Order: sequence, then C-alpha cells, then structure tokens
Amino acid sequence: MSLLACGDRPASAGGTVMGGGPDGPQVEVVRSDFAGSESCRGCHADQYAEWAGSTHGRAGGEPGPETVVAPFDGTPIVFADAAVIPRVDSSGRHVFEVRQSGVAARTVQVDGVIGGGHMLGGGTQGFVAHAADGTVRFLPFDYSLQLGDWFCNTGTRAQRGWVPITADMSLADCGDWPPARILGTYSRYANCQSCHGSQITTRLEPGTGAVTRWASLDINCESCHGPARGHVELMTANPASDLAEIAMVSRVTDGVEESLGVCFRCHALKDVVAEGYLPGAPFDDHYALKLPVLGDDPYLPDGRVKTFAYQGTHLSSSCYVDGNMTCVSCHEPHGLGYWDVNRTPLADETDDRQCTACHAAKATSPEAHTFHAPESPGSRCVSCHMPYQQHPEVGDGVPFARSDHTIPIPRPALDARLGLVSACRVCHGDIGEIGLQASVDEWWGATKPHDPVTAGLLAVTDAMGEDLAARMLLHPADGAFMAQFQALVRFVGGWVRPGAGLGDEAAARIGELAASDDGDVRALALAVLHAASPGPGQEGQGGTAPLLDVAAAAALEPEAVLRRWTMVLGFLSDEALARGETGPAEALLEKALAVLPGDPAILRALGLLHNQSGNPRSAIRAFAASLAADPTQPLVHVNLGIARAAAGEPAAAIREYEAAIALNPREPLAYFNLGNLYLRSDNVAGAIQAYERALALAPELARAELNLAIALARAGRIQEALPHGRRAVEFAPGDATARRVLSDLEAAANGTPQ
Amino acid sequence: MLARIVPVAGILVLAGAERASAQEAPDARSLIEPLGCGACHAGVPGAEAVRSVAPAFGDGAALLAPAYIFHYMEDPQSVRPDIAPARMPRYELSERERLALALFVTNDRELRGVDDAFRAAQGRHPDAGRSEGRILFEALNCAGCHVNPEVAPHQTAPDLSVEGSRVHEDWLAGYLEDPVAIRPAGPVPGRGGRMPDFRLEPAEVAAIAGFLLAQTAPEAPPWEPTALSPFAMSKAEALLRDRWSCLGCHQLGEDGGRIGPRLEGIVQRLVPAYVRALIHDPVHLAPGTVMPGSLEQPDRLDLIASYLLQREGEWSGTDPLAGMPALPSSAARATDTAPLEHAGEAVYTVRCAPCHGIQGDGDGFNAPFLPVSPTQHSDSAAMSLRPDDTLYDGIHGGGWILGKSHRMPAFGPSLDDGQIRSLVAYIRILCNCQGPAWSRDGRRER
Repeated sequence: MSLLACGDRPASAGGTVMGGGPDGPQVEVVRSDFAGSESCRGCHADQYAEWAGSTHGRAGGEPGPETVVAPFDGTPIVFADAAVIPRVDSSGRHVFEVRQSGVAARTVQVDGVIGGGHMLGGGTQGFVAHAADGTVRFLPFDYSLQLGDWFCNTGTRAQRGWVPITADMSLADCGDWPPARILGTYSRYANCQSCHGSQITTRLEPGTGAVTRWASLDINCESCHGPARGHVELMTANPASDLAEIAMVSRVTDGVEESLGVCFRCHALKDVVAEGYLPGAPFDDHYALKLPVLGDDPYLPDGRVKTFAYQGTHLSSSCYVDGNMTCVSCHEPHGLGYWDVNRTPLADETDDRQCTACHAAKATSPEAHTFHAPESPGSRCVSCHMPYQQHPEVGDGVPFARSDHTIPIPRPALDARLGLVSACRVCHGDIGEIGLQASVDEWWGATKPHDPVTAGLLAVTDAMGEDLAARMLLHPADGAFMAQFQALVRFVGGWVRPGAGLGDEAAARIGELAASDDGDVRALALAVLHAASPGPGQEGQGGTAPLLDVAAAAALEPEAVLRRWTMVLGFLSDEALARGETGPAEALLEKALAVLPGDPAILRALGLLHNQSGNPRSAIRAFAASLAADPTQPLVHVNLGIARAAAGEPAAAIREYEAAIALNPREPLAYFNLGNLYLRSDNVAGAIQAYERALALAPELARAELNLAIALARAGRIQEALPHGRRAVEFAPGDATARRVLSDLEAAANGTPQ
Repeated sequence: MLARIVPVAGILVLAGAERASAQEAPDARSLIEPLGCGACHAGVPGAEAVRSVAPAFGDGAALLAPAYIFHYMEDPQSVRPDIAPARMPRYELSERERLALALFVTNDRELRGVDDAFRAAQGRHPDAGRSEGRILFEALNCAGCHVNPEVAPHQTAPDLSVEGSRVHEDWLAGYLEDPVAIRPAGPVPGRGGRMPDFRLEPAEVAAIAGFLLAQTAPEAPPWEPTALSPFAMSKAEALLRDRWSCLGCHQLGEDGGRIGPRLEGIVQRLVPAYVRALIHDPVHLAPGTVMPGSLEQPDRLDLIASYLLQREGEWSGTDPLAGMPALPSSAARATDTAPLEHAGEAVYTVRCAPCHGIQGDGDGFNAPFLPVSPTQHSDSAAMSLRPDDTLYDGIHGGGWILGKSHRMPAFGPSLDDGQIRSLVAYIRILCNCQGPAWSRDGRRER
C-alpha cells in the first residue's frame, strides 16, 4: 500500500496510489468524458443485466415507483409542532408537504431518491431536493425499511443520533431541518461527498453560483470503470475489436491497492484533499483515507468502528494486512452477489467458502475450529468474524448495523472494554463477557496477539512518558499502515507540542515513518517532525533543533503528499487555537506555507486565524494573498470583508461582499455580512433586505434569522420579528443571544418593557 | 536379434543388428518395442525387448572401460553406427555428466583404458564422481533399459495413450526426428531427465507418429480458442505476469521458471482442447504430473488457454544445459531410493523442493528464476511465526492469498487433505520448529 513506491518517488505527483489510481492514462477528467450506463449495455449485456438488478443499479434515481420504497401515501409524519405529508401530487411528483404552526405551508419536491433500503443490517432511503442556492440538499425525512418508519438524524442539533420520528419531537430536532447537508463534495457546505450517485459534482460556477450535476443517482458503470465515452467511440469505430488499447482499463488486472481503491471511492471514510473528483482522476489527489483519524478518531485501536465508518475498516483486517484480500475477493462486482476468492459463485453472505477458499485448513474439520454444531449459525465464519455492528454514532433507534470488515477474532473481554457488542453476545446475550471469554479461553487457549502497533494503541496511557509511549506506539517495521497512522496520531495527541522538539526515541521512530511506503503515514510523520521542530529563529531554545530539512523532504514528495502534510499542520493549528495557543497555531500555518508556498487554502486559514484572534490587518494581508493565488473564492472575499469591517473600513468591506456576490450571486453569507454591516451603520432597511436574501438562499442560517429579527425590531416591526426570533432559537437552541433576543421580542410584543 | 559382444579397440562392447532399411515400411510396434519407449512412457508397449538386449550394469560393469562409456555417450552412433534397432539413443550430455555416468556404470576403480580426453575431463571436473553418476543414471532412467541392481527404473515420462488427443502431427514428427528437452528439469522436477535422440529415419518417424496419433482419448470434449483482441491478449499477459502462478514453473519469454515446458508456440505443439483441459484439470488428464489444477472459473481458463494458443512465438525446447544448474541439488534427494522418513517428504521433494530446496533452504533449482525468493522452510525463527494452518492454507490456496508470491501455485486441486497435512508436518521437520504457541494452545476436540 503506497502513495508512491518506496525509493521511486518523483518530485511531481504520480506513482502507485492507495485509494485507486487513475482508470487509465487519463488524469484530467471532465463530465463530458462520461457516457452513461446505457451506452455499455449493447456490448456488455450480461454485466449490464447483473448490474441493473444489483444494489448499485438500484441505489437510487429519479423518484418513481421503481425507486421509492418509502410510503408516499399521504400518511403524515407527525411532529409535535408540524406534520409532514409524503405524497404523490396530481402531477405524479413525489413531494413532502410541510405544515408547521406559524409558518406558511410549503411543499418540497423530491428531486432524487438516495438508497433503496437494500442493506441487510439496516437499509434506509433518503431524499434530496434542489435548494435556492443551487445546491441539492438532503431532506431530513429518511425511511428505514427494517423499522418500517420514518426517521431523521438529530446529530447536529438534538444530538440523539438517528431516531424514529415521534409526535413528541419538534421538526427542528431533525438536524437537517432546514436542509443543510448537500450532495456532492463541496467544502463550503456540510456535505455527503459524491457517493450517493454517479459523477456527482457541486462546483462554483463564477457568476452563477453553486451548480450540482450528476449522471445518475444509482452507482453506474463508470463509477467503477471510469469515463467511457472515449471507449465507446473507439469501439464503435472499430467493431472488429482488434485494438491493443481500448481507452479503458480492465479491472480484471487491478492489483490489490487499485482494486480496493475502486471501492473505497465510496466505501471508506475519507478527507477531501482537493474537490472536483470524478472517477478516472487520481484518487489520492482528491481524497485521503487515513486523515479522518485526526481529531475524533472514528476507529477503535484495532480498527473497528468507534463512531461511524464504512467498509474501509478492511484496511485493518489481517486478511488485507497479511494477505491480499480485496472487496472483490468476496463481492461479485456487477451483481453484487457473493463469490469466493476464486470467483466461485456462493449462495449468500453467510457462505463459509468466502473464508475457507483461503482458510482451507479450517474447512477440513470445521467443528474442531468452531466448537459449534456444523449447521448452527454459530458455525458460520461470518457469525464470529464479521458480526453486524450497529454503528455507535447512529444510536440504537434505527437499525444501521454493518458487517465488521476488520474481520476480527472474537475477544469478548476486549470487546466489552471497547464498548462493543461481542460477536459471541449476538447469540449468547444471556452470558456475560467473563463467561464468554472463559469459553474462548477454554476452546482456543491463547488468542492470536495483536500486531505491536495495535497492542500499543490498546495499552498506552496518557500517564506514560514520551520514550515509553514512542516505543509502544511507533513501530515503523510492523503493523498495518492504518494502525501506524492511528498510533502516530495518538502519539501526537499525547506527547507532541508544536515547536517543543522530540525525544531521541520518538524522533528516530517518526523519522522512519517519514520514509513509509504509505503516503498518508509519510505525510503525517513529516508533518509531526515539522510541527515539533522550532519555528524560524527559535532553534536552540529549550534544547530544540530542527527535526526535518523541510525543503529537501518536500522536494521528494508529490503534491498529494505535500497537501496531506499541510492538512495535518492545519489540523494541529486548529488544535492549538482551540487550546488558546494563537502563536503556535499561527506558526503551524506558517510552516504549512513553507511546504506549499502561496497556497490559497493555507492563506485562507491564516486569515481566519487572524480574524478570530482579533488581528484584522494580518487577516487582510492573508486573505488578499489567498485571493491573489485563487481569485475565485467568494467566501474569502466575505472573510476579507469581515476583516476590513473590523479594521474600520466599511466601504472596502462592502466592496468585498459585492465581489463575493459577483462570483456567487447565491452566496448567502455575503448577504448576511452585508446585512451586518448595514445594521451596524443603522441602515436597517438595507439590513433587512440583505438578511431576507440570505435566508431565501439559506433558510438554515440561524444567525441570519436572529439578526433579521433584531433588524425588524429596530424598524419597529416586532410582530414580524417574532417568528424569525423563534426560528433562530429553534435552529440554534444553544445560542444564548438568540434566546435573550427572543425573550425581549416576546416581552415587547406583550407590551412588557425590556 | 540378440546383441553380441565384439571387440573394438581392445574393449568389449555390445553391438546390435543391422538397422532396418529406410526403404522398408516399418511396423510401428516393431519399432517401439525395441526402442524401449515403454521404458519411460506409459501407453506404449513395454521395455522388455530392449532390456533383453541392452547390457546390464552391475556384474557386467567390469566388461566396459570408463573411457569407452565416456566417449560412447557423447555420440553413440559415431562409435557404433550399426546398433539399430536396440540402439543406444543420443542424450545431450555435458562432459561432466558423461564423466560421472561413466564412472558409475563401469564401477572401475582402476580406470582402465583411460585416454587423454578422459584425463582432461577429470581435470576439469575433479569432483564429478560415481555418486553423481548414479543420480544421473536414475534421472535419465538408464535403468529403464539397462538393468542395474542399485537403481530401479521409473516410467515417469508422459503417458502416450492419448497422444493423438494431445499433440499435433507435424510437431510430433519433428520432435521424434529431432527431440529437444520440453521439461528441462525432467518429467519429475529435479531429476533432469530428457527425451534422447533415437536418430530415427523419416519412415520410422512416420510410422511411430502414426501409431501414437492413433491413440486418442475418446471422451475428449471439443474446444476451440476464442479469438482474442490485442487488448485481451495484453490482459491475459498481465494476469500471467502479475496474478497467476503459471510462470512459477513455466517460462514465457525471459520470465518464468524452468520446471514445466516453455509456453511459447504451444499452438504448434498441443491440441487446443488438450491445452484447455490440462489447465483445468491436469491431475486427471496427465496422471503423475506435478502441475496443479486451476481454481479459476471457466471464463478465465478460456482466456489463458486462448492466449497461450494465440501468443506469437515459435515453439522451441529448452536446452537443459543452458541456464540450469549443472546438477540440481534437489536431484540428490529426488533420486534417492532410500526409504523416506516421512510421508510428506516424497510430496515435498517433487512439488516443493524445486523451488524451496531439498532441505528447505529456499535454494531449489527453480529459485533463481522466481521474482521472489522462496520461503526458507529450514528457517526456524521465521517458520515458528507461522501457524500450521497458515502453512496448510498456503499450500492449498497458493502464495497470493497470503500476500506472498503469486508464483507459488495452489496445490489444493491436486493434493488431498492428508497430503497437505503431511507436507505441513514435513516442513516442521525441516524447520525443527513448531507454530506459534497461540496457534497450538487450547485447541481440543469437543
């Protein structure tokens, strides 16, 4: 697994990639390169037929009887403060009619269906609709097939996970009301990346605003095979098929990493390195699979799901780390049925031959290994090694269990310590972990030990010294790359401070990791050495010395690694800022600029830091530099406007907001900040108008509701202000200012002086 | 006609009868029997006839002088042009091999009749001795014709009973006329045996080929290769290079092992249906072969067979003396007739030792031709980290599933559970170790 093969690193991007390389020689991919699944059907009829019946082929689409499994029968979804009626209107359109007290009824047309409720451990279906700002947004009304009921995600507001909708809930308990998460990878918004459909892009089109496009909302042929238009044209022109190159790569010849990379385009958590990915482009230039570990690690020390993840946990499985297992070792990729590693078709997901085609020794005498009756569920390999685990972040309200793709060995005592339901307990819920562990010990004796990295992650404690922690966690020659990444993140969290240097043991081990074959690990290690080094002019202070020749190291790395390196430094900067360490936070961003000089994203982050730390002059310089590097950043104009306003330059601020609007006429934050400026300058009418425009584009902007309420109140329009004040509280229940303003408004409306 | 003893240059030698006239229409059976084809091949008449005329070695060894054997084996016909039909075929033997064989078959400690050439050869190969000659004697199956009290004959060359369903007529005729080594390491890997040149006349070739081609497999299913596009050809080539184990044993271009036949020009040698069937199930098609069956699905079997049958390149044999160790170290054990100490040893010697070495040192004769060095089964420290089940799985499923070399084939289709377990047990003998404790502790039958 490598971003680039060790010892074979060109100074520019390229080489072997984790997460899938380009689908052929083409690296610049545009929408017009795609032909659609129907164009594949004529020549590849068998594969098309299998795909069409698969969960990929039926993953979603335009709303209609073929795609919608949720009941759009007019039965209301009842909230305490609203009723939402899913129905098919007289035009045959699927709509949600939202009736809420104090608010005009509105009808939301469903523009896309996401999912078909296919997943065994909890299949769901969601819906998207076009929003006024050009984005396409997830509606908060999801349907669970297993539950037979509507549910919503309260994660961003009520924080109760996914819950069935009940009559004691308010509509705003659903975190996505008003709809906020968008379809497509676009960091301007909370987004679900580009996996709920095919060739989904959401991009800024200067002068127009955000534009979302997709080929289809199923998972089409080109999602895996890459763009096919060139192939179709070539083969149409050469029906004799006597070509050596067919403008498309064969997935049959994929290596392990390439094969996994195709599936991990969607079936893995990933951080965005650069937006605009389309299948066929170098995946690593756009996404990083291990960077989600930074911060609230979604994985447990042994790689299992701690919060919410996908099948990318396979990277922590012994079958991958010690073998060559890929997704298509078990999953037939067209029909998405099951087969074994030799492509022998299997009946279903419980067929032992998924495992015994490789683990043949276990098949010779299964009962000697399973200690369960041969035909019992406990004798199935997947019962013990791939149990369905309800993902913790979802909560227990809605079935969303996914088969554990780390393929662990049952360790009931450890499972309990990690807060997991052990595979044993799935069937033997009447036995405690101690009893279950006793059976495991009796039957199998000592269990296969974890690799040293995972063992270190499980054993290390914050109280340990740096050297001991380094020896426990950092094993450059052992363990899976995912575990190495997790361990280094753990080490950074506990024992690394910006500019404070490293002990010899840690420095040596991290130095070795900085030469890892894996690009994510390498980038993290480089960033840690860089972060721990003293800043310019600080060498020798407190015994610190540079741990890295930044220029020399950066010259060896492709841009994909350099970007990861700066993303890590950016993360560490955020952490420092959260601790109130503004200086170190700034120093870390300056270091990032040493890696990618003039990078607009780093300059933008630097400007935000200065804005946040009350240094508008520095912020202005950083934002201006960012815009010089990339002038198509409406939000940087907005932030530059904020900085200029803070610096006492309202006219200049207005020019920046207007520049943002020129780039994106549907940028709500430009109008919102314009409103703020107007409000501060007592241009109440202008402020009201600006806030109303902001809210028309982004109804979820609670602060715009609040400020509009304030502006209306200042205009003496108390009754008009009240609903906005209420929505400000409804959408941001933790906002004390909003509560106070609402209280004042209600008092004013009641004639009580405040 | 019985052989007779005649004096030649003061040395007693054997002579055969006058050979049949080229103008006579030879009867294939009357050729095959005295040629002794059945000494090495099943599916043809046995070797009794030739054994009755070929001189035995052992008691009669003293009748021959080492130097005579040394020269005779270089080109029997030049020494004795009149020894048909019970004639001594010509082997492509190196000087060292001839020296070692001469010392073994004559058992002459005084080295009578030694000439300058013999002495010079001894000077060049001072360590080539009788024991090496004995190995060669068995490898070349000399005992198939020449009775020897120390070495038993073996019939390990390809079964000819279905030759008509196996090879093309043109190829067979050319091969009989001018045989070259197809399996440079021998029909049993490591033995080094090879088809000798019988110096057949065209009429004899035609007769024997006709006889052999008439021997067909009645139930052989028809199969024709799919016409592959250049793209499909490149796909198959990539799979052969990067995923399948074929090139662990077979050479293709400059890549690949030396255990099996080269893969170029198969279309000129083999019948397509046989190629397809052989890839799928060699164990039943060619009993005794070390080639394991494939676990691949029919479409992939079609792809690889079609590729091999359409790949450009002329068929050619392999010079067994080029690029191969002078004498495979594994041959020492492969030809040892001493009782095996362990059931797994026999299987190991034939199927594993060519790459992993006879002692498990990773130094089998095929190892230099592999991109990844074979595991050293004698490495106690490394092997003690691998559970028995992992060894079993690797033997059964091949190296790829374990993240090891994909050139290590899956023997699951050709070895039964008992054979694989015996191999695991034998590997434990080689490493003098056990699997890790966690893989052994606590396991008990319920």
